[in-house]
This record gives sequence, structure tokens and C-alpha cells, in this order.
Amino acid sequence: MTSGATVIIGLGNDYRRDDAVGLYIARQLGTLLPSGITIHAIEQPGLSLCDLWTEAERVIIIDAVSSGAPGGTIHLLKADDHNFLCNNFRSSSHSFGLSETVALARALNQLPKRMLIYGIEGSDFSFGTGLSDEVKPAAEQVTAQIRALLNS
Amino acid sequence: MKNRTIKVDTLARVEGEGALYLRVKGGKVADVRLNIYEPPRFFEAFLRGRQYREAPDLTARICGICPVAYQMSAVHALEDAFGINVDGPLRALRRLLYCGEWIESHTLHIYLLHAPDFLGYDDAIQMAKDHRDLVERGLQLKKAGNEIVALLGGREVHPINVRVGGFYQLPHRQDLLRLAEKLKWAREAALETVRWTAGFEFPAFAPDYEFVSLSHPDEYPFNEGRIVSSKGLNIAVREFNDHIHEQHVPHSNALHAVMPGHEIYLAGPLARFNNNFTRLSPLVQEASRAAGLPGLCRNPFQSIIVRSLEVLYACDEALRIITEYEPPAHSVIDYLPRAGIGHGCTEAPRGLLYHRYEIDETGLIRDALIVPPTAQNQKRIEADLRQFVPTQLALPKDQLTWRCEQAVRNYDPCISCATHFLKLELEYE
Repeated sequence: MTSGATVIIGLGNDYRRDDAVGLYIARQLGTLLPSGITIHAIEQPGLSLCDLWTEAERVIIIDAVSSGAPGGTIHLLKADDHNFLCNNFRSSSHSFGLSETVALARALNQLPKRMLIYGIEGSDFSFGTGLSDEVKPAAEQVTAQIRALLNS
Repeated sequence: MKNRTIKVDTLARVEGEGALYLRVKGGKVADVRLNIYEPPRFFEAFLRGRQYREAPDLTARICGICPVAYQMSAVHALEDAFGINVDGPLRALRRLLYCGEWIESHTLHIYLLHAPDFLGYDDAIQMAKDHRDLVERGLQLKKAGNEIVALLGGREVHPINVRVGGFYQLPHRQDLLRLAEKLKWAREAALETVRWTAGFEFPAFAPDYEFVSLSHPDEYPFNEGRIVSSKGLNIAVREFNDHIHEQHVPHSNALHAVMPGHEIYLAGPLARFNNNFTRLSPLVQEASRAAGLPGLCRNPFQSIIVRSLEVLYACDEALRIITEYEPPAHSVIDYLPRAGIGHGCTEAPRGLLYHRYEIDETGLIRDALIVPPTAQNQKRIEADLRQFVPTQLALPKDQLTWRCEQAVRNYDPCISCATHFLKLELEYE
């Protein structure tokens, strides 16, 4: 990866319906964006997430959230939106989640210059594949927004 | 003393969800219950009716921290059922993969989960603000372990390259040599980690444990050996269930393991270290003596030093294996599946992990039994608290609560494996 590069990271679980929205968008963007932009679809984030943005100038992270807002709501966040990050993204006691990883990266001065986090409100986190009717249009909208952002 | 209740909503820095209840009466612990309320996960039940080939990948999904242990116990049990023995370079590569898991799992616990207890921080993020170099070293060291798992296992988490009889794909020599360069750094970092943790302050506490681990005449145990204890047990892996029984207790969704006729035993790094010290490499034995542990450690709070020594060993052993590695002709040995029962026991980072499978003539799993280390250590954690808390009653309530949590973290409990945040309730009467 060269300095100044953009890295896009989609997070989620393919088998918990709307939780897969980050993966879905990352895969969509993979077919739409010019080369030179690194895209990752990650099912097990953990601490190794930091390794994905070493030397990156700009990082865009996409993940599902559960904040109580209507399904399909798009939350556009920055790395310092600490409270929202801590309370609304899926975390696990098995490993470091997105909020802990961002907080640790900040403490270690390893945050990229620009970090944008798209949190998409899920409405169905049950077992199974496929996005819900509320989340699918939001996924298309975020895909278009990121594409426009990178072409601007 | 008046009745008091302490609640910690989330005992952070353990893998899993559970609660701890402690009632103190007249200077003694009247009741202690490690309450694992994470729902049962039914792995043994849904393995039934699946093809034997699926067991290593299915059981790897039990844990994101120690999936290699599950794969290893699974393949060894199945190979036992089929009467085959994987030896030579394939055996060495499995050992190398296990080194990777010990490095990543232990380093995560040492630097990010346990060290904050000794340095007085709520968590690793707070610690990182004051000790950036230390946390960065920990992360780099952990990464070396992850890279071994990724190379041998196909990916860092829930590896997919292990199969009955060997591997799906062998590593390329140049990739192993590249790894060796990183492991040379890791070995130095591990040595620094031993020196660092040996300088922590430890509460005086040294129960007369019965240490239970694998033991092998020629090597520090990962995959093979007899099950031995510091108090006379010496049995073959297939005899595990004759001596160690699981029982249900009302306050836990994880079965408790007991060994009738023996004390409440301890599995894990301390047990391995004490039962197998002379099989550690000279470098590790020397580092151990310099750290003040010349072959015996009974203080569970010092398990952080022992884990550091095991990380050092895993780096040293990984380098030895890579140096001596001669690629085998095939990635898997020939074998014929057959009906039978097989037993496998390997040393997961947290201790002994036993699998037993009954396979039918079509290769389907008829029955499965998995006994993880944290399930075995549950009674021991409770026994430690019963013995430790009365020595700490002069502490203010908040410090006592924290000491209790630390005593639980000594075990690096993987509650999810055993059945996930610990809620602590402390009551004085």
C-alpha cells in the first residue's frame, strides 16, 4: 500500500442477515471502483483491523449498527464519535470490536488522517442470509455515496 | 460485619459471559459460585450425524482465540479411531501451528487482558496511553503468532487447512524462512516480556495444587503425551473419561470436571510448566530461573510470567522446527476411515482439551464429547477464591472486588469455550 491511499473496510457476518451490510457494500464497491483503492470484506475484525490501515491516508469503514433508530438509517460518523461507537456497534467478548480497536489505535497514535465510519441501522439480525427490505436501499445509497466521494 | 453487596456489571477482560457470586461470613467465604450463564452451544449434539472430515473445521468454530487447539484435539481423536499416526514433518508442522496459537492467545492475555491488573489500569486502552511502547510490542508479538496460524492454517482466525492425516496444503519454504526472520524478533520480544512481567508485584498466594497436564518424555507438550498430575496420576489419553467426570451444577451452564479420588485439580500453563520444566529449551529454562521461577510456580497470579515463558518457548520451538524442516512428499498420509472410538487430548493455551468421537462404518460421527480447559478449571477458580479472599478482607470493598476479578483472570478463562462478561456480586455477612 502506498502512502496517501484509501482503504475501504466492510465488516459483518454473512449469516446474520443485516449484519452483513458492510460486507455487501464492500463487495459491491469492489466491482465499481478503480484500481488503487484497497477494499476488505472482514468477518472477524479484532485487533488486526489496525494492520489494514497502516500508512493509509483515508479509511472508510462500513458496519451494521443497532442504536434503536429505524432500520436503514444511515449514521455517518468519525473516529472521535466515541459514545456512539461504544454503544451501537456489535461487540464481542471474544475479541476487540470496532470501538475498542479505534480507541486503541488512537491511544497508540495509529489512526489514519481521515476516518469515516458508515453505520447502517439493521432491522433483522436473525440467523440467515440476505438483507432486509429496509436495509437493502440504504446499502445501495451508501455504495453510491462512497463511489461519488472517491470520484470527487 | 454488615451485609454488603458489590456488583460489577461487566467483568471485562475475560472471554465470555458469566457472573461471580461471593458471600463472606465471619471472615470466611461462605459461598462462591462462578455462574456461567452463557447459553449452552450444543456443539457435541450437532456434530452427531456429520462426516468425520467436518469435525476439525466445525470444532475450530468453538473459539476465535484457540481454534487450533480444537482442530488438533479433533484430528488426533479421529486418527486414533482410524489407527493412524501422523509423524515426521507433518507432525512438526502441526506443532508449529500450535506454537502460533500459543503466541497469539497468550500474548493477547498477557498484554491486553492481564497486565492492566498489575499496572493499575482499567483496560489496555488506558494502559496504552501511558505505555505505548509496551502495547505496541505486545501487538507485534501477537502478530507473529497470527502469521504462523495464517501460513499453516490458511487464515488467522478459524483456520481451515488442518485435516485428518495431515494438511490440505503445505507451506512454501520461502514463506517459512520469511516467517523465521520475524520470529527471531519475536523471540527477543518474548524474552523482554518475561523480564517485564517478572518485575510485577504479586500477592502472596500459593495453594497446594494438583497440576494436571500432558507430559511427553522428549518435548514440552502440545499434541501428544500421557495425562499426568503432580500427585500421581499417570494415564493414557484414552483413559481420560475413566478418571475425569463431568457434572452439572445448578449455577453454571458449563459442566464442571472432577476427578474422583483426587483434589480439585488445575490445568493450564502452571500445570504444564511444573510438570514439564525440564523439557523446556535451555533458553527458556535460563529465562525462567532469571525470572525467579526455577522449575516450580504455585502462585496463580504469577501465571502471567509462566505464559510469557511459554510464549518464549513457542518462538524458540517454532524457529527450531523451521530450521529443521524438510518438506514431506505429500501433505496427507494415506488412511482408511473405519468404525471405532477415538480419543484426543492436546494442550490448548488454557490447558488440557479432550475430544472423543464415535465413528460409524460410513464415516459419520455417532457421538462426540468435548471437555474444554475452562470447564475443567471452574471448580479450581472457585476454590482459589475460597482460599484467597479471607487473606484480603482488610482491603476496601472496591479493591477486594478488583482482586477477585484479577484472581479469575489468572485463569484466562474462556467462558465461551466452556459453554461469555463476568458480573461480580460480593456479599458480606
